[in-house]
Amino acid sequence: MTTTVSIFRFGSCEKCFDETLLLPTDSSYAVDRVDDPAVWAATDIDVAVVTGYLLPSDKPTIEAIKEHAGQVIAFGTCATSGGIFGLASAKGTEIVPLPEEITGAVEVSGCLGDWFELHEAIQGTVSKGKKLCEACKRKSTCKFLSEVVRQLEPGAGEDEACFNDRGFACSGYVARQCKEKCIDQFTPCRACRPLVDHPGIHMLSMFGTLMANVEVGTEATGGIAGTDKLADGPDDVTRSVPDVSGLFFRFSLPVEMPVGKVPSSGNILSDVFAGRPIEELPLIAGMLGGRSAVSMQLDIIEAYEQDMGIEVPGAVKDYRASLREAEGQLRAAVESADAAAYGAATELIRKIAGNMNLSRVFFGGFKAEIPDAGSFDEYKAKIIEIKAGTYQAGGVAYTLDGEGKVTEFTWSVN
Amino acid sequence: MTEAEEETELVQETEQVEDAGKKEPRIGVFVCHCGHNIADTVAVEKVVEYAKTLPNVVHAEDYMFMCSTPGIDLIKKAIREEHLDRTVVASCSKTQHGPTFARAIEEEGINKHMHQQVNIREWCSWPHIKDKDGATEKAKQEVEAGVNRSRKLEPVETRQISTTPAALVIGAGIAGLRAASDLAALGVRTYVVEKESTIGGHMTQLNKTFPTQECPQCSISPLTNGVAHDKNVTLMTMAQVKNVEGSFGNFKVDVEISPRYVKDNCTSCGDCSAHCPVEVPSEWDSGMSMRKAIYKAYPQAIPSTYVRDKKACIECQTCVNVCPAQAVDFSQKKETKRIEVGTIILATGYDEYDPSEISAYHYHQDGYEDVITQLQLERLLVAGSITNSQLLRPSDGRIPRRVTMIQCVGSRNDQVGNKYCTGVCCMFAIKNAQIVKDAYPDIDVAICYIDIRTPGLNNEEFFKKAQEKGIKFIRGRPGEIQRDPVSGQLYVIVEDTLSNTPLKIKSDLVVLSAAMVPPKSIGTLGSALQVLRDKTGFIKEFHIKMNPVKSSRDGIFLAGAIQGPKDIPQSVAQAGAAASLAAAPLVRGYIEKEMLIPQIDYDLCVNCGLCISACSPNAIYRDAADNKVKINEISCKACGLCGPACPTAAIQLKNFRDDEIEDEIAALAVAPREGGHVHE
Amino acid sequence: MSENESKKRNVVVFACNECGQGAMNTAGVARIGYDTAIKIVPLQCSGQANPVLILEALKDGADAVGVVGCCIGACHFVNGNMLSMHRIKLMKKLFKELGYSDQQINHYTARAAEGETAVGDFEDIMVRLKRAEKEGNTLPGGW
Repeated sequence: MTTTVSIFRFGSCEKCFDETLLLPTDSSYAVDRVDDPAVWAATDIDVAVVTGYLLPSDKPTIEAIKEHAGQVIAFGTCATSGGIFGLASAKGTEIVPLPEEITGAVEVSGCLGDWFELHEAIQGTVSKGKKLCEACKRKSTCKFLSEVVRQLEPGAGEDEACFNDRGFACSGYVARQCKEKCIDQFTPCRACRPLVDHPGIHMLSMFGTLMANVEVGTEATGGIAGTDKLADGPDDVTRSVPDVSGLFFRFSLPVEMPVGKVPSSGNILSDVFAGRPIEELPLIAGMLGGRSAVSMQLDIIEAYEQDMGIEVPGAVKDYRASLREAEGQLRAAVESADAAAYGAATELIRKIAGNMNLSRVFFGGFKAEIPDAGSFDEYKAKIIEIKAGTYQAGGVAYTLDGEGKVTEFTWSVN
Repeated sequence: MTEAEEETELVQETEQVEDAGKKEPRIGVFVCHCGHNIADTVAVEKVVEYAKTLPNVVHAEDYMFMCSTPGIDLIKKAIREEHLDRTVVASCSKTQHGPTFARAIEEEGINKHMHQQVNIREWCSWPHIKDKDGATEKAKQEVEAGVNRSRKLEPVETRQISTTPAALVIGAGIAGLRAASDLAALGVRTYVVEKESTIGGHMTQLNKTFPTQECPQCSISPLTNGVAHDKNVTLMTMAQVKNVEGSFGNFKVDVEISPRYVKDNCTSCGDCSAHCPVEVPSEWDSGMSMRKAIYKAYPQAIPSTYVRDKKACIECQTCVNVCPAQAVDFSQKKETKRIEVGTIILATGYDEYDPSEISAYHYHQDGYEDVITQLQLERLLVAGSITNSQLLRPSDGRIPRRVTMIQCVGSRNDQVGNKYCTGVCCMFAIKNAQIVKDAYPDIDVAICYIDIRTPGLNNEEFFKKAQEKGIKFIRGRPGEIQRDPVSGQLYVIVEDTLSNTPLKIKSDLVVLSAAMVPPKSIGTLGSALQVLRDKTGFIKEFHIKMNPVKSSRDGIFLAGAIQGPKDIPQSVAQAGAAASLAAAPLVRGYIEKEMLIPQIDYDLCVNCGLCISACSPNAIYRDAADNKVKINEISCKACGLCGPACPTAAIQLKNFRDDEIEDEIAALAVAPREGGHVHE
Repeated sequence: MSENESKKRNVVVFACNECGQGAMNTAGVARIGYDTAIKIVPLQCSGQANPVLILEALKDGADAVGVVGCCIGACHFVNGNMLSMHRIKLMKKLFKELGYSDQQINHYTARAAEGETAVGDFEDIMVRLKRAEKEGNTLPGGW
């Protein structure tokens, strides 16, 4: 008898849900795609695949799923831990990781989740995946750092040293390898597939130790004490990591920390972007933009380039045009649930942008070579300046403060 | 105990480790009144009642003085009758009586690490005299925390590691020689590694030593000869330590020996040197004279043989041809020897501070040849010197009529040089001033000082004698040394701060009392030995008061000026102490080490290497064979710094694991409640 | 007594084996009084204080967490105290980014021979905790 599988699309960028189009149609199971879980007619199913992040308002549906499904699989990091949308929990939004609601749920994490792993999980095999550091070709020495950098210049011959050794934080230490493998695109890992239960606090502890030679501010403890303690206020340590929660806890904030009290903008997307540093914006857009990831990311980049007068080579413009076109094809494919067209569109996106997180794309160009593209120097990405101001292009408008962190962000789909 | 008994003990301990994993723990809790000290503030009976509600506590009682003999007997009785396998005593501090109770349970056959000490006196009853209720509640929390902690404790083995029966002394100055001599006298096989071509160090460069004005060559000669010919000593000159592996009790040291280019059959006749056409400034003479490219540092040098300076040599081969013993051999090469020792003594001494940094004193500048250091003055006055012991000016060879000495050059200075006081310069300046005045009563000798520091027996008297001889003492730090461009006359510009008079002292010879600074090579050597230096560059002692002889690394000891500027008697005394400490584990034949070490879960380890950087005694390393991160069990000091460094919590210190401390915290973070708290 | 004053608090203080516990022993011997809220957890070195443990303490219900180590430059194990300082500084920033007070955790130093250094640290913890409570932005326990 064919196994019945229902795939649920909860709140998210939808790329994990879309990716399930690639599940083989000729296997031992039949797939039903539930676009709107809130109106799902609860029937008994063998396997429920949950994609997207959960809000408290989704709990009744989750209860129904728990009751009617034989096996529950959380597919994609949004389902397993809230995904990058979990960062909105700093602004008062409660995000519910599925494993906290359904014990025994199988977790296939990843941003983007690997559809083949899901295929195997549905059939009963779950693999955990290699440790990211085993998969990464770079070598780490972890000698104490005197300086932390926010950006690195991509170039040939520098790929041997671990990012962290160069002062560029990479959470690969607390991660398992996912399909998207940002590290192959000269982009540090942000641990969308955790290796440990609390990756954020572990990475904070580890990186805090690694940056041992960065100066930390101390002050006198007054009164009868007459000794030193940590000083209040900014110092080289806090300046080195402008966004602690967004860097170390990017995919695990709701799992590790209580819901925050920062005032919300009223919009979950804007809440995720607020507080993030400029150099992380392209990757974040790629991670949560879903069907609009390309346009969101390129609009963010082009808004900044326009304001800062950064000239972009012709080749880059061409590649960007192709990316936008591919996104158009992806949207069409998804709207008509055309698996073949979806496969072709995502293959093109992966070729140009490196992966579905668009990790390769950066200000001024690309962070890693595009295969068969000619001299990398022609379209290498820029190291950008940190400058306060408001930037606008296409559907995107955002404001940066003096540290280069987003204070406001709006996005309207065109 | 016999070998068989030792074996049995180890087997019993291993069984204990295995058993501890299988059985449910049986915890005994003992709450002490400590007379009035605890019981007047903390209601001890209530604490005992609370302890009885906690899981795995099979016995709980209170007593007046747990540390007394009847108190200890109660513990032992409970162990035997209730089959306890671990104890918690709530009384005073761990430092005070932790060992008392640990010893008691060991006598009952329980590994001493299975005792958990809870401090409800210094940390509870004494600071909370005014809040009895609060103190009692806190004591309950503390005891529960101790019980929680006790539950997962594991026995820890104390291992005996046999030591390599040999010692290494690095540096053959007065301190190194004294240490080597004392070690050899104890029957310890001793290697002495000296980087120069001759032994004796700075002491043999001196003319006289204070306060008795004895000849240092004579004082040190029994030692240099003794060490060089001692059957227990292997002396390596022209040698430097390059690399040290291993740990306390078993070090493997790579020594690089530079070639002399002169074979062992050299008769020290000196023909090679006599015929050599090349002359370069003599380092031994502090630049006061010249030597040849093939030379002996000084006539009485030990080893009594020659050495060729390859850099200065023009390879004319004259020495090869004239040597009657055919001992000159240009083909010799550098070699590396690996020696195995149990302990190491670092005695590499000091360098004289180079005053060139103080531009106002013009040291080493053209026209200022008569500005010299005290060491250079010693070389002029010493027997057999370039001037035949006469005090002659370097510029024109004439006897100076006015000699001015400047103290604290490179010492006690916030702008240049060093902040510290070298502590020896007052004495050696006064010594040299008296020698000059005694030999040349008509020379005006003046010493410009900030303070005169002559502590210790005989030294104040030495200073008084100098004043009686007519040596002038001017209290002021000279701002500069001026030179008349026409006559070349030198002037020392100083303000006499006692009379508030600015002075311009005409000087024919200016002698700078330069500081003692760490030797240039100590950077690389210190890193090879993995010992800490303090910010001045001298090697940091283990404890500034209570252990100035031990370094920061187990098994490496310090002797002499390398641990900070000091004079000869201080160096000799410290060397004796170092020899004693270095010999003890070798003579005993073993060291004892508690195996309180971390364990690594390789399923979680990502091989990042941060634990290696964080480890304070450098006890973690990557195994060359399989590239895995491993612990050196001997060097580990159980500090736990590796734990928080690890991104995946793969490395956990035994008995201090994260889950064990979390159990402890669970009891302290909230109010006490019956049955205790379990950490989720 | 106001509610703030009479409230029973639990403050977990990690103390290193050398100066931390040393100063606390000396303070006890000298009978210097401090709040019973202070509960001491002995560690080998303040550098052993793991942020994971600090968070666990707060999750378990502790009102504040302190770490007391040796003075700067005097750490028995070279730089354990500095390592702890770096990590706690980042944790404080994390709390601030979530809209919470950063005054509930701190790293202090003490001198073994001077009990008042430890007690001064304890007093500082309590002053800052009470201020955070008044401002209403302390972390919720048990998340």
